[in-house]
Amino acid sequence: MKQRILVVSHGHPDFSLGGAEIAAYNLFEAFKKNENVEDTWFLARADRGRGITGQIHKRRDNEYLWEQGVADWHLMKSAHQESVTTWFVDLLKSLKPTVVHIHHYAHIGLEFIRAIKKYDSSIKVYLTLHEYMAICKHNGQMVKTGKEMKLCSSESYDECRGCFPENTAEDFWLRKHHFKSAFDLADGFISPSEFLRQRYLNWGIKQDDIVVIENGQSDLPPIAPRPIAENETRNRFGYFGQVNPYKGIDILLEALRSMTKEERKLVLVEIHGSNLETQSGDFQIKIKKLAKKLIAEGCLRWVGPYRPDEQRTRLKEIDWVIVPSIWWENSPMVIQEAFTAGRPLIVSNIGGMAEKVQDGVDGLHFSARNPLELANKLKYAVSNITLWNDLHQNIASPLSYTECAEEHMAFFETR
Amino acid sequence: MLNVFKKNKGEITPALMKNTIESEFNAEFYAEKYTFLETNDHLSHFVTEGWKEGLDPCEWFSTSKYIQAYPDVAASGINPFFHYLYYGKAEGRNEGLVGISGDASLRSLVKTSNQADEDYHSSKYFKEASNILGTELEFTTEQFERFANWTKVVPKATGPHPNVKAFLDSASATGSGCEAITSGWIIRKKDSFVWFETNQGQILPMRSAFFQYRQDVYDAFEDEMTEALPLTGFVQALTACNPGTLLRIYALSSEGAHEVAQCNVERIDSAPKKLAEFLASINTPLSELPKRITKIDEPLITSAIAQKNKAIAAMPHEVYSFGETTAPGASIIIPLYGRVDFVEAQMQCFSQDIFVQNHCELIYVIDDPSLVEPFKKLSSDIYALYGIPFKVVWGGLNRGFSGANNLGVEYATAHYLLFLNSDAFPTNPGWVEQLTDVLNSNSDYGVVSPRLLFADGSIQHAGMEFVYRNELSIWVNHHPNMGIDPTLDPHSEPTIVPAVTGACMLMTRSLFDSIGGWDNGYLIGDFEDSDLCFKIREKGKHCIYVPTVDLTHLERQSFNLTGAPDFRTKVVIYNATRHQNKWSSLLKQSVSNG
Repeated sequence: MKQRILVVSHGHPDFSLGGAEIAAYNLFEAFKKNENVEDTWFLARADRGRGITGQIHKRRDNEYLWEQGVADWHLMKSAHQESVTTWFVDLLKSLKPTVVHIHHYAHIGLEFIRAIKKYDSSIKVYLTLHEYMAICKHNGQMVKTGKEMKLCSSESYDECRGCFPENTAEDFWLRKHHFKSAFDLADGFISPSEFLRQRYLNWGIKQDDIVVIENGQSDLPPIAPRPIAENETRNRFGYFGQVNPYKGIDILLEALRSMTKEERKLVLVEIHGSNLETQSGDFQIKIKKLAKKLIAEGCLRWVGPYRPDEQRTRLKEIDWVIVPSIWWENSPMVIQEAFTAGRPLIVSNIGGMAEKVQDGVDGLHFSARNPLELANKLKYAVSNITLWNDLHQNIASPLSYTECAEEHMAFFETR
Repeated sequence: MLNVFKKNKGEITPALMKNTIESEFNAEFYAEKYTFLETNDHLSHFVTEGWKEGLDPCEWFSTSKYIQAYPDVAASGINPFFHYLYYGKAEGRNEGLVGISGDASLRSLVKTSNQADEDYHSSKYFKEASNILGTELEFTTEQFERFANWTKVVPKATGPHPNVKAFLDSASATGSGCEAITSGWIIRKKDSFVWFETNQGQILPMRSAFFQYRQDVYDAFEDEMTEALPLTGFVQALTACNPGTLLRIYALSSEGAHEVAQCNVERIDSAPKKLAEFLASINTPLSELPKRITKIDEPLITSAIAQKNKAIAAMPHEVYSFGETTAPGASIIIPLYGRVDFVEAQMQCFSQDIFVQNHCELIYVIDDPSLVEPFKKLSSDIYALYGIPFKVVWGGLNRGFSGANNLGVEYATAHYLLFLNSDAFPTNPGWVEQLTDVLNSNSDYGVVSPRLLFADGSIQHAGMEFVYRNELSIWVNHHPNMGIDPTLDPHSEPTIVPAVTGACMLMTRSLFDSIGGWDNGYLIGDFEDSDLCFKIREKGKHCIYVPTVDLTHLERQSFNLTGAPDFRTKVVIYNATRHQNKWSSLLKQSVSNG
């Protein structure tokens, strides 16, 4: 039987360029082309500037926007309750999906999962987990609250209370109960990384209910290595993505600052980052102050934001991609994108980054949150003539959109 | 003449002023506090200069506070301490007093002539009073009535009583004419005759009051305590006493009845909780509190509760329902108080339980006016999402845990009643059938209750016992094995225990009706479950703890919202006292009897 798949995402890439919504949309596009799919739709939560009306509107053929929100982030409760059992169910009645594949419930709430099963328990519900939201109230980061942003490895009612003293341990019992009772309704879970899968196994998802499927990538060929003269080195490093305190830009800039002026002359770091201006004042000041002298010296270029279609052009002039995040990450899209382009990476040695990049095989690890260690890896990458070529050759081509959709279909078949 | 001198007391001479001040002046205090003084005649210094510099004559009087409080005194240029002693004290100008509980200041509150009343025992009045009441502390109501009538013929004497000193800290009445309370202290001898008199003519001998030890009175009057009765603090319940009137205390001497204290009767709220709060504000050593409660507080609160229950009975109910359960096997009654966000979390558990959905009737009883509106929206959202039928009952006002449960029963139609807290969450489906199976397994079983676990998974309830708290003189509920890992639970089979928790209990409707339901005479939710258990045991039935059924109980979440911890403690003592007065014999049998 061919499947009719409704893909649900917390955002539409037309308006929001987060990794999860792009992955969801690309998978939706790939489902369209899959021979076992009869029909497929994309439903994204959207803020159309009219408030949370609960209304669902057509965006274009097979694409819908839902003006939904979250009223209670502790329990992830929908702001527009009524539409969950009315307009959303009407959409199900009209589309008649056999599968609802949910990529995120943030900004939507958890209730619609129950509404699907109550309307028709034969509809299969799958959830792709993009972060640790159910486990961790702190934006699903598994990083402690507070200035030091310590990494967190385990959740418990009392530890979570440590991060949120205004909540009781009982509040966290309730939170987990709410998430778990919604998750219990799902027919299966997909994790883009084994690391995240393990965290959810510890939390309470059953071993057989959750599989790892990497996010799909375009099947464009790798970009040619940046042409270099004989006396030149592979010394161009690029950072791509958001600029926020979890992404470790400050670690990268501090790594440069820790090097001698002579050492810095041998490297060039480009920041292709967005949203610095939306960050807190303290953070902005810190980053700008760190960057100023480096830019003046010429070892740092602040290139700024890019559109997805510009990324390949920008990667042409780059030798290495750096992912210095101070949180665990899951499966950062930029890693797969760098591999697609044929660029080795230098990444923090934790979580999804350590899993996706193999140290000394297709990239380098550095001790997370340690600028001196990152500086050493930058110097090592520049000074070792054959290293780049070796790593570059070992890069395997990432999972394509088509293959990603096929893996999903295979998983759906088994459930 | 300035109004500060309005009372004509003859000419004020410097000698009079100095003599008056000297009687209360504390030279030692003055010398120690004002070490910079170079004189040895501290009294003269204070009388002439010291007061102008704002120096204090003794530890209990503040010159500057007095002047600040009474600008007329300041304007007159008179020595403030003299003014207080000569005029202000009688006029009730007490703003200059410091440390009202300090020993010296208590003395300033009362007046006596401090003369021996040598004719007292041979006086006509003493003999008459003794004939009626006797000099022992025991008495009967009939004696009281005769005494009250007799006081009407006793002439009122002028001037202070020779030795009895009394002070009324407060007197308050609800205005219903039924509940009034006063407290204060008194220095009296064993053969003193003292009585309260309301201006509506109610007369109550002082002996009927509750007496307690007062450290502050002892400290202030230590020199007199060898002859006086040792328990100087009193709390007395009055009837026929309304707000806005005057309450007086009279003491007998050979000359007749002297007024030794008086006080305005303030108004207090008649709601049982407000009355209880007021009673809690009257200090009594905690270990003595149960005695006071039995004598004073309980009759007052019982009267207030009875009036409230009368109003409750007349209150219309608002009932609405979603869907319908046909021929339910069990009615699950869930009172809602303080918060409603547990309801959905509990519904998530019910949504996995076919038996609850098909054979149980869910009845939510709103017991909190602030939840009525929010629950209208929430309940319809929850029904839309979960589709499990339920009924909502709102009884017009807060009825307390017992009252809310009783109200729920009025709308229950099933053979079994299951009382459930909204913060108790079954860990597995099938729990209701398991509990009914246990109840049916033995005809002597009256009520069954599951194991309750904390959020962290350790035991919260595994049956209840009772322990005696010596420092408070009360029997309190004890939860054995609380906090341990459930795998270490000594019980693995249904077990007879002294009592079980009201957070989740199942019984038949017929048993419930035969014991007359929940007792709604307790304050703010305590001991109501053990009271119900004792009623069941009185019928010869057992309370059964079922360790094979687990619920998670986020205990006390809904109780945290009531009052301050201090008040909370006193409420527990109140309820415990009422509980043990009702069930003393069963309590003594219940010590670790499981």
